[in-house]
Amino acid sequence: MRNYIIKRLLLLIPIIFIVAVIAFFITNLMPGDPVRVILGNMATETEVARVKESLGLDQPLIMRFFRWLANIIKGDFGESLYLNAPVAKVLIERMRPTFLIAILAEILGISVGILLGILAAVNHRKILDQFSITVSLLGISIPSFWLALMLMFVFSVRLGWFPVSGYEPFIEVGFSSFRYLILPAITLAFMQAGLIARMTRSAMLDTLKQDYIRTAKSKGLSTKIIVFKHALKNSMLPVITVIGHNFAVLLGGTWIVETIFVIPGTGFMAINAIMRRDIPVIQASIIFVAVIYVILNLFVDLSYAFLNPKIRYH
Amino acid sequence: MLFLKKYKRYKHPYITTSIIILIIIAFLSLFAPLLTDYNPVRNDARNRLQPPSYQHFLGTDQFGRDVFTRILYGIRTSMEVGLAVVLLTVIFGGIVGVMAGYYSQIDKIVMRILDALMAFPGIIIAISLAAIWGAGKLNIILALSFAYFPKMARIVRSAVISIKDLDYVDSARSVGAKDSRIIFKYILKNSASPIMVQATFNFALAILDEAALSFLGVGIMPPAPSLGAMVTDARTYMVVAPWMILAPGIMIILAVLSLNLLGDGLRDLLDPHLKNTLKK
Amino acid sequence: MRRKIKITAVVLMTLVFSLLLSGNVLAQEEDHYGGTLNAALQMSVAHLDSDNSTDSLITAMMNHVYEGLFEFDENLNLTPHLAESYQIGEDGLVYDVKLRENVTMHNGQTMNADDVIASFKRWLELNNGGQLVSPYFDRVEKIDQYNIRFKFKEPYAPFLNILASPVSNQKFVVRAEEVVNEFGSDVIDRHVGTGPYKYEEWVPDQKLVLTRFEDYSPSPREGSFFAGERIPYLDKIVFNFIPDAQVRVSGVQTGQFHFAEEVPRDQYSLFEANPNIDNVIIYPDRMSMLIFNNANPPFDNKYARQAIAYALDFEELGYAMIGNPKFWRLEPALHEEGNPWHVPDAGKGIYGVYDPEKAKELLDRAGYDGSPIVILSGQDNAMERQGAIAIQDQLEKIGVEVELQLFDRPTVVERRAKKEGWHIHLSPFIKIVPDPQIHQGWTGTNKWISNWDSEESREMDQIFAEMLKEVDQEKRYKIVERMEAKLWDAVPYFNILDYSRLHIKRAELKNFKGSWQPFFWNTYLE
Repeated sequence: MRNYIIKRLLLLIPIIFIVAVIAFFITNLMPGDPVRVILGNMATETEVARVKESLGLDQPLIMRFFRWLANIIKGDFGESLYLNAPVAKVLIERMRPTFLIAILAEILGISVGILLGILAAVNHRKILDQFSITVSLLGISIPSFWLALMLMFVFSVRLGWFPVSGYEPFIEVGFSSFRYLILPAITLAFMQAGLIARMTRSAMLDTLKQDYIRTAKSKGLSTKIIVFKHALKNSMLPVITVIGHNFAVLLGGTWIVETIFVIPGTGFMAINAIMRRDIPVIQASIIFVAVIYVILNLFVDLSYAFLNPKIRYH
Repeated sequence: MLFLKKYKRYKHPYITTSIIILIIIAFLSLFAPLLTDYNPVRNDARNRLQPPSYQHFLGTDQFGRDVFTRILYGIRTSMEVGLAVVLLTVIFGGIVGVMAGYYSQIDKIVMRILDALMAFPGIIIAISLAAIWGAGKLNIILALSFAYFPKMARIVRSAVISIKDLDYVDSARSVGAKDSRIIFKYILKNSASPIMVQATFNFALAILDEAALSFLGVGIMPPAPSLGAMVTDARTYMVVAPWMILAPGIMIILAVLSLNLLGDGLRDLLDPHLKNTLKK
Repeated sequence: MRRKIKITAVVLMTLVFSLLLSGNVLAQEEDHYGGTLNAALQMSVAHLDSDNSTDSLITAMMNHVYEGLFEFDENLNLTPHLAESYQIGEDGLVYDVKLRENVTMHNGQTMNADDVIASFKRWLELNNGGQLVSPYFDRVEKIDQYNIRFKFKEPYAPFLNILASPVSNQKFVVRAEEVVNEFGSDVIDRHVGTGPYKYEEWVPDQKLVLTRFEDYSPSPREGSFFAGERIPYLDKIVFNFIPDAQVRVSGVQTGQFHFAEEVPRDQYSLFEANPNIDNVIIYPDRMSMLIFNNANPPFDNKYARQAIAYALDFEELGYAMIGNPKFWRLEPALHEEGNPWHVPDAGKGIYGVYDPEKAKELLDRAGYDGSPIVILSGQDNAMERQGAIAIQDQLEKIGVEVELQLFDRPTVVERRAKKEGWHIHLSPFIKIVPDPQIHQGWTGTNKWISNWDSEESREMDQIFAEMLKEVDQEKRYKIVERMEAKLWDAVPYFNILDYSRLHIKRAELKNFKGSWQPFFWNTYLE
């Protein structure tokens, strides 16, 4: 087990390296010059040249790559061209709302998704099953940007239950901070619930067919006990995989939702950075998402070991 | 074909429903020019933001263009992008997957690269690539294919690995069949099911992601109609012209929903063991 | 002296009135103080150093922190502000400026000639307003603590107008000498000015917070727009950067914001019906410029450029680009009606004449070969995006093939800086231009992005050179007439129409004046 973890951790190195290489060259190949954005619409060529030099952007690409790589290993992602601060610091600051939304969405998605999945499996081929299938299909079929706008229109613009957008940190305003996060979280939770419900349903259906469940039934145990005590536990393995894999996708999904609700998280920062070529921030955002993804996958694989002792690692 | 035979036997309700919807959508997009008197890109700005009426079923947008017409052509764009992405994904994913699965010498390297590529959520790769190449149908297709192909490659690879050491493949090899013949005759034929299922889901995903990219302004170049871009436009007019935002959204949902339904149906039908494979 | 009498009179009258109204008028006057204003702006800024950018938003916000030697009032009259008075030497080569004494800066020191000279040298070197001036400028001299002399090599008529220019970032503002020395040409992020508000906090992409400067030394002149007395009633001003229009609107509807910039014009009547919200329409505000790439065929030929003007239905463009006709009007001249430099019959015979047949004829005459015309525009600005789409539609209707290229800002800015690859570009220009000379910055041989380099462009250079030296207003106006005539004959670029953005404010924000750049002194919350 320990060897397995070490091996997996070592495997992260080449992956992150490839990600870093792609991130660096993608961002530097983008058309559009950050310096011109900084200087505004009417800038002259001499101004552009002057600022370029002061930012070190006049040096050859390959030199900049190695310097950048060396700095990253030291944990220094450079200085944002717009945010007036080191990228690493900004990234950590911006992670808070993003994680809050993602966790909120995940909790919502898991509870609704598992519930729907169980209901569907227990009532296999009945109306509740059809209902659950429809809802979960809708969950994975509605574009999140559209859903976000609809929720915003109905609950914020028309009913005024939530602020239309923006964000105030928990430290400053306490629990009313969550008022800003509810709609974005619901938007993302919808898709999560859909994915999780589908997975729970099929895993449960498989489990319910197993011999030991039949045995339990024949022993006269109530359906509730069978479902929650025996079947659920044994159906969790694939469900956890979905949750793990999708938490990373979820963190990517916040890009669009954060932009719509104007929440200053990592996604909003990344989209803004792309739109104005804040290169160090784009690079850090890509690496950030990739690292989260591989680490989460590692956790998923490790959790297999705990939940299913049959799996052995070499 | 295997699929048709099976379908004839089981008459799976998901597949029936989704195929009916998809045929309607295909009909709408193929015969769009016959179904409407309007041109999707011609302006009539003096009649902008008209509510739905007899002349304009779904009203007009900020340029006075007929929203119904733009939706017909918009879903056409979505279908084109979806089909092209699926095709490219299958081709590239197939090639890389077969290579990695069949030739174990390169498997490790290819897998590491695929791992790295999959570490980016697809939409982020697509946004970055679209920002590099600029908006446009071709660029979106390439960006999305690039984002999806690693997953496809992995699926093909595992299918290949599970098949390549089976007895009948071994025996083919022992009688001196060439690699290319083995790959085409035995392996690809038998890994068709997972590829088909994944391709269907990719189709749905491509429609969603094209809409999302166009929504962000890095997708289809205006004025060409795209459902996602229509939602972006409608955003500004949400309060005064809600018809502009409802219609394209519902159209996207309909198309994606029926494709996902089809994917589920195919999976049930073709390979019950695949149930636990992830959509993404 | 006269002013003192006036003030005494006002005070007396106020006293009488206050007695009549049982003495609470004065108390109410006091009540105006206090409160935090939340304004929602569309774009955020890269930094707050106006000399190091051409972004007009920097100036708009930092107008509360920094002040100019001269400022414009409501009627576009140039008014001394940090300057007390000025004198122009007879030959037009020397400007003597006397500064106001006892103006306290945010660092507690008193503003003097050294601060002004240090800021001016930086402005001259970095700011593109300064770069307009510098070829003709000789040197600046300190006469004493409060007197400065600006010397020119050649007469330079628009000097003071450019110092106070409301165009993009051009205005010259006074910063503390120590800050200028500390930062040199780097981006300044410590802000020490003389304005009624001081810099408190800037959270990039989120907000800029300004607080009242308690030791503010207001100008003794009557307050009018940027000139004269600025009273900081508000304790705090928070500029929030909110890119989504609907979010800005809802913020004002719910009272979260007191002011929102650039909201959807189509919601005008909704706001009108809401007693808590006031519409703010500003004329003159912006003009939508169609810029040709004069370097390449077909638009290296003036007939092809004229053809485009004939080919376009400007009214239809108004609906497509801007929408509600309350917010736009056709205007061929670079200066709006009411501006002393307005030329009423500019573009006669070509502007607003929709004649597709003539357009085709002119295109033939220019030898246009039918290859596609590339329109390059930004995605992020609604006027540019919608204008480009509408122009494409109109040109295609007369059989011209058009390729539309809509990109995000960085790509557009980079592409249009190139000589090849584009033909037409749309850009919003600020309409308020106090001096015609300012147009020299983008009009003439190879100015800005137009790549205009021909016999005609050199004639235009000549016109601007004459304008520069002419100090007599009437003669100078004649030159402006020639400039407009040349512009509409050669058409290196042209104005499609003037338009206004729509801003909204809460009703409780009182005494707000809608100007070309929003400002919040002299306004108060009820």
